Amino acid sequence: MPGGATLQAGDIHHVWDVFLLAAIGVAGIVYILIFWCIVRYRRRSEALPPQFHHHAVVETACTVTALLIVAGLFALSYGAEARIERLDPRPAATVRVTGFDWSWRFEYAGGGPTVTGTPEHPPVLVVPVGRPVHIQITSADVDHAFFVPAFLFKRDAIPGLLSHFDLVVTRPGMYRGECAEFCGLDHAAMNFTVSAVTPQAYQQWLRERRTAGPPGPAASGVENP
Amino acid sequence: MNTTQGILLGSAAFALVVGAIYWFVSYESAGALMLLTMAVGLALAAAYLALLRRRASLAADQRDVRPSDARDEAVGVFASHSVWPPVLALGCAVGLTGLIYGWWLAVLGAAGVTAALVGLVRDDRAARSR
Amino acid sequence: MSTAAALPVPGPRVGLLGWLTTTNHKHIGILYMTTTLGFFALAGIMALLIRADLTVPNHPIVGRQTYAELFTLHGTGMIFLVIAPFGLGLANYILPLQIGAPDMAYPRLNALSYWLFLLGGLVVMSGLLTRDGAAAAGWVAYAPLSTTGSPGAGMDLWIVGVLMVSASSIMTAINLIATTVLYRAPGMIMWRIPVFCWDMVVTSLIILMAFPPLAATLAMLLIDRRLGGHAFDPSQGGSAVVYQHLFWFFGHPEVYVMVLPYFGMITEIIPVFSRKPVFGYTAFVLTTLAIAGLSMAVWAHHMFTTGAVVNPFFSAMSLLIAVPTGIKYVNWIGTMWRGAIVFPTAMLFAVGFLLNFLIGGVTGVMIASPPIDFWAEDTYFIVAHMHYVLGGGSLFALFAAVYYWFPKITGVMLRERWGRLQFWLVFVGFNATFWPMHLLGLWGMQRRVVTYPDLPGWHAMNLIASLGSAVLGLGVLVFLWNLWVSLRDRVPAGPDPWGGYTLEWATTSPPPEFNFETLPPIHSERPVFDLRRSRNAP
Repeated sequence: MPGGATLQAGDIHHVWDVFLLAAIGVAGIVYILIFWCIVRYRRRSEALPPQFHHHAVVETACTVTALLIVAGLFALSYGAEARIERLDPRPAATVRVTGFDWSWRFEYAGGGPTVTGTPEHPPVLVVPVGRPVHIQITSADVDHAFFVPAFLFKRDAIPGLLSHFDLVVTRPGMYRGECAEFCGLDHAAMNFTVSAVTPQAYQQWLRERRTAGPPGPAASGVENP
Repeated sequence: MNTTQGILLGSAAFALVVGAIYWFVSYESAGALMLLTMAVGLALAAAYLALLRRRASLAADQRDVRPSDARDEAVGVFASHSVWPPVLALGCAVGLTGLIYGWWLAVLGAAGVTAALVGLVRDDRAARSR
Repeated sequence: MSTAAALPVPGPRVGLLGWLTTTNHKHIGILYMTTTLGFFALAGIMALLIRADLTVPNHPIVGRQTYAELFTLHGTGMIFLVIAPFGLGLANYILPLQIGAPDMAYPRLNALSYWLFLLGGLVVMSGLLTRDGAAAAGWVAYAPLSTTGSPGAGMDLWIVGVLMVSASSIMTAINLIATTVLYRAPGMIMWRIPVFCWDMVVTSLIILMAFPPLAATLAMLLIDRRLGGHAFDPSQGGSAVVYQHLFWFFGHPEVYVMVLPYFGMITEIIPVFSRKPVFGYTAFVLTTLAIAGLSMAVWAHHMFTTGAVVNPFFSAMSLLIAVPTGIKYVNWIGTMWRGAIVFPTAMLFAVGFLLNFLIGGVTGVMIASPPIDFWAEDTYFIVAHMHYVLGGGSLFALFAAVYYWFPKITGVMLRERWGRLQFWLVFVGFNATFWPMHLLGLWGMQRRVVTYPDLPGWHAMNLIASLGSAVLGLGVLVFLWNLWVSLRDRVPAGPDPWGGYTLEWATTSPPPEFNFETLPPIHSERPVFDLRRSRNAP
């Protein structure tokens, strides 16, 4: 599996590992029972086998076990989700991400630069490593989704909705991003890159790209749900 | 209360409880409304069955009755061949595409639907008078 | 034996006109099932084109617009025109027989259901013949893509066609429930009806709860598109998120409409070929009801990545629904346990169902966790999950049901040798196609893309999937061949070739017009088994 390049990805991967173990365990037991039946209980004579209809203990035990497993999985998942969705009160950067047919616009808050891409020239989202970056995401037209496989994370970009999440990238590097909600003809070409650099390099980049005026106007009709 | 009434009532109660929980957890109106109207719809169906109390004495709901006990009783009247269902379906198809391709289609479709509905009611009346 | 009266209406009873005007549940069931076979072939060819397009990275073989139409019509076709209606069509044929009834409660309504389904499906597909092409917004038709983003008539035809199919399903649901409530034979109390009938009654209940919101949503789409509405246009005060709520409130229960009938079919087949009664009949009925109720409360697990819903509520409900579904495996394994099992083709497909559906089930539990879903949503992991439950599950059960009930419907047996060949081709082909998609999804390949970059492993997995789809397609061809050859050679089946348990095996193959000359006494959920035992007893 790729990734684990953010703090949140660590949480996601841990949840995945537990769920995978549970899945293999349960499926493994069930598979063994099925194969046991089809091998051991093949018809060998015309005698009628014992015609039992139910077994209260077995049925109850299986139900209770299943409920306990599911409750445990929920508790794990709930805690991880709370951590993944936590927003830092003092992020190192705030970026308004707008999906549109068929590329992305990144507007850095506080008089920062605006980066707009095209399918031929995908945009690069430059972020400082090790610091929380606050993303506000929306769409200018139809539904899109901001997906970075290496972060094991995506969030939809929906017109009329401003959604919020934090990214804390832990390893410097270039990470491929793609659109993960079908949005029309060039859905497959709506890529971007996240470039995680040292905080010093990030400040350098900001200085080089800082525009004179405020960032471009946000998508119309934007509101919180 | 027979099994069917029990299922409908139980489902209505479930929808009500889950709908209430969902509302207080989320304050999201679309889902809450759909769950609560679901409860109302199921309760309506349960109430209808309860009011038709004679249904509770269906032979089929008695454990020890045999089919041979009901020999020569008419089970019911079942409609035979009819051209009106395909005509009605065709009228719907043509009429709805009138929303796309022009009102003249909707008129044509409405004519077909009307003819079919009239035909169905006529056949039904003729059957009941036999 | 109680009698049924038919209205003697003069008119043709054979030939094309006879089929056009029939109201008999058996003929309508046959019409349904053969029509779904036709749509299956169409949607299946689209799937093969999709797989061919994705075989080599950066090398699509169709244009972007065509590709979008292909995956839209493949999904719409398989969901609305194959898997769901086959269950309803088989129920049309089998349910009245299994409860000892002469026909469905409302025969003309039944016929109307079929013709609305056929014409609705044709209207959806007719988009291919329009200038701007068929609908291309996916089977989910999210707004605003399906409103302002889809100006052509193909999208309108899709909406109208699906509306017709929805009406058809609602009518069949009404008919199935009314038939079961009103026309059970004496002694056939609800707790003795076959499990397949229970599953169809509960499926019908779900249809009644889920399809009206779909119809309303489709009407709103039409109003937005053609009559100046703004329900889903955020720039005018509408909401794209509300579209998703409305659609998925229908969309999630719909998947249970596509699975519960098939659970029922499997639960008819496994007991007969294990020579055991169903293990845990009561539990099976209760878990089916639990699934139906919970299925209405999980819809927004399709919206975890929007950031606009209360994820934990839906996560809890979705994890909870795994429990009654899992208990069914206790029922099925318990039925086989200490049984005397034989493996005609129907049983091969039933076991295949058990093995495949389980994989879909456990991946479903995984994506019920929002953190995992943040990773997997809208990737090929989801494609793998859905095809394992609907393909590896429902489709395998569909084949099992065909091999099991074909003798009753036609009076002839399907050939076992072709059946075995079909099973192995389909089993290997299916798993080769969809197992690699789990990996592709976790590696980041998103859904609904006409092509993809040459990243490590992506070409290899896509190549395996495409080759697998060819094997799967070959298996389907063998199935069609078997149907043809068996109907040509006509090996007679007799009334009860399998040693069945339920009432359909107490009459001829095929049954007469009003189904039964006489009915055996009904004291348990296995009246024909009881009858056979009492005849053989000294």
